[in-house]
Amino acid sequence: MTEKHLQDQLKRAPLPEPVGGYDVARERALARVRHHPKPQVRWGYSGLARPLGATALVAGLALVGILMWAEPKASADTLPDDSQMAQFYDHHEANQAAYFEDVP
Amino acid sequence: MKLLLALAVWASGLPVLAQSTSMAEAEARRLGLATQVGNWHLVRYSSGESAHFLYTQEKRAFSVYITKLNGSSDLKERPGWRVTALSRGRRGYLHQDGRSPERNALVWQQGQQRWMILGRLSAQELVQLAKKL
Repeated sequence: MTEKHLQDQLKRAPLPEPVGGYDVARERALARVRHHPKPQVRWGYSGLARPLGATALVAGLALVGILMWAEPKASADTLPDDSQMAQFYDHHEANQAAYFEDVP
Repeated sequence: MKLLLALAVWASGLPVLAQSTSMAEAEARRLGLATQVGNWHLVRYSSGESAHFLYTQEKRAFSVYITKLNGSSDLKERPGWRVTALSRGRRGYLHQDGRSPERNALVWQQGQQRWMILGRLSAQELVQLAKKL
C-alpha cells in the first residue's frame, strides 16, 4: 500500500531539472552522435553486385576503346590523300626526269 | 675494315643494279604486269612499299605503283577522287594533281593489291591503259 502510494506520487511529480541545466544536458546527449560517422546504409542487393556492375562498366568501356582503336588499322586500304598523292606525283616526275637524262 | 668498306661501297651500288631492265621484266612478270603496253615500254623498276614501274614512249612516261593491301576490303573512297568504270565491272578512282592539272592518276584494286597508274596523261588515256595492263 505504501509502495503503491509512493509509485503514484513519483509518477505525478514533475521531471527533475537535468544536472547543469537543459542546454548542457542537450549538448551532452548530442555529443555522442555528433562525432561519429553516419551508420552505413545497406542497399537491397548483395555486396558483390556493385563490384560486378563496376566491372561490367569498365569492361564495356575497354571494349569500345579497343574497337575504336582498331579502326584506323582496318581503314588502311583507303585511297591515298592529297599529300600522299603529291609524293607519288613527285616521285614519278623525278624518275621520269632521271630516265630521260640518262637516255636522251 | 677495308673489306667492310668495300662491301659497303658495293652494297650502295645495289639499287642501281635493281633498276636493270631484266630485273624489271622479271618483277613485272611476277606481278602479272605486261612489259609492253601498246607502244609503251617498261624501262625502270624500283622496289619499296609500293613497287614502281616506269613506262615510256618517246618523250612521255607513266608510272605504275603496285601496293599490297592490308585487308581484303574494297578501297575506301576519299574526297578528291572520282569514280569511273573499268573493264569487267571493276571500279577505278581518278585523281587530278591540284598543283598541275595535266597530271592524273587512276587507282583500282586487283586482288590483294592496289594498282595505280600516274603521269602527264589525260583521264581518258589512263582508263585506256588500265584496260590494257
